[in-house]
Amino acid sequence: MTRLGLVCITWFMDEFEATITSLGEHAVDYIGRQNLRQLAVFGDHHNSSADIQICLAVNDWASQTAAIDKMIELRAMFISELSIQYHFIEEDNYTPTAATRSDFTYA
Amino acid sequence: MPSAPLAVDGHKARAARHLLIGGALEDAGDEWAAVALFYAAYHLVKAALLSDPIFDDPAKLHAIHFDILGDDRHTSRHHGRKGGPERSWGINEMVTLLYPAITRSYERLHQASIDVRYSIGLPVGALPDLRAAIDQITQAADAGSLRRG
Repeated sequence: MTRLGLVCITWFMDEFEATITSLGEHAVDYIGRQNLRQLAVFGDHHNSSADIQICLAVNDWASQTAAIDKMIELRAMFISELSIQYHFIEEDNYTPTAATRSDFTYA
Repeated sequence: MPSAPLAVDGHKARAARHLLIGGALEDAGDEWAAVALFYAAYHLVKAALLSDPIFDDPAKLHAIHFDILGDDRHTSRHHGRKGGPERSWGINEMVTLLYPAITRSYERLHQASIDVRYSIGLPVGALPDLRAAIDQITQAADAGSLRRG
């Protein structure tokens, strides 16, 4: 399993980027580092939205549902700041689907 | 997007149709059952939003979230956005805020539908769980419990 670490690509840290950073950190903590191969957050400042791409260590339905439950908690936690969508991907298959000024990759 | 928005009965009819097709695909063991079952759930929630009296009560809406307005019952997008002076809510967020009892079932169906349509396909073992999810949402809708007003 790949060791997880935070790579932050940003021009400056404004309030939105701080929120995206917090979302990414919470996502890793909630799902659990041991359950993740990769996790990336693509923030769209204009729409105050975030797209989370999740690559699970084991991509079976039980692992997905456990991660979905955590994403429900995160959506509720950030609901006043962000509109959050997420999806599960295979390793090395990152495809940004939102404007990506604020990108955070855990790899 | 349809040119004319559906009314409550129209959404219920589409939900029934998707349930029928989803069941047939499920019996065949086809992963596309997840897509049909999710859209059955989507239309059941759309029907609930359109008929929920809470959208006629600004004070109750405000108690749920300060940014929800009566017209938000008409949202059709899955995910919202906050750009501009007014927030645009998505169905997923409305379910989270208004109908928490079915949130887990709705999210499972939505993510499974995404897996099938755009991503890695439906993981093995998912279909029985998705059947339980759509049954829970259908029963909640039939019992009239998808309402906050």
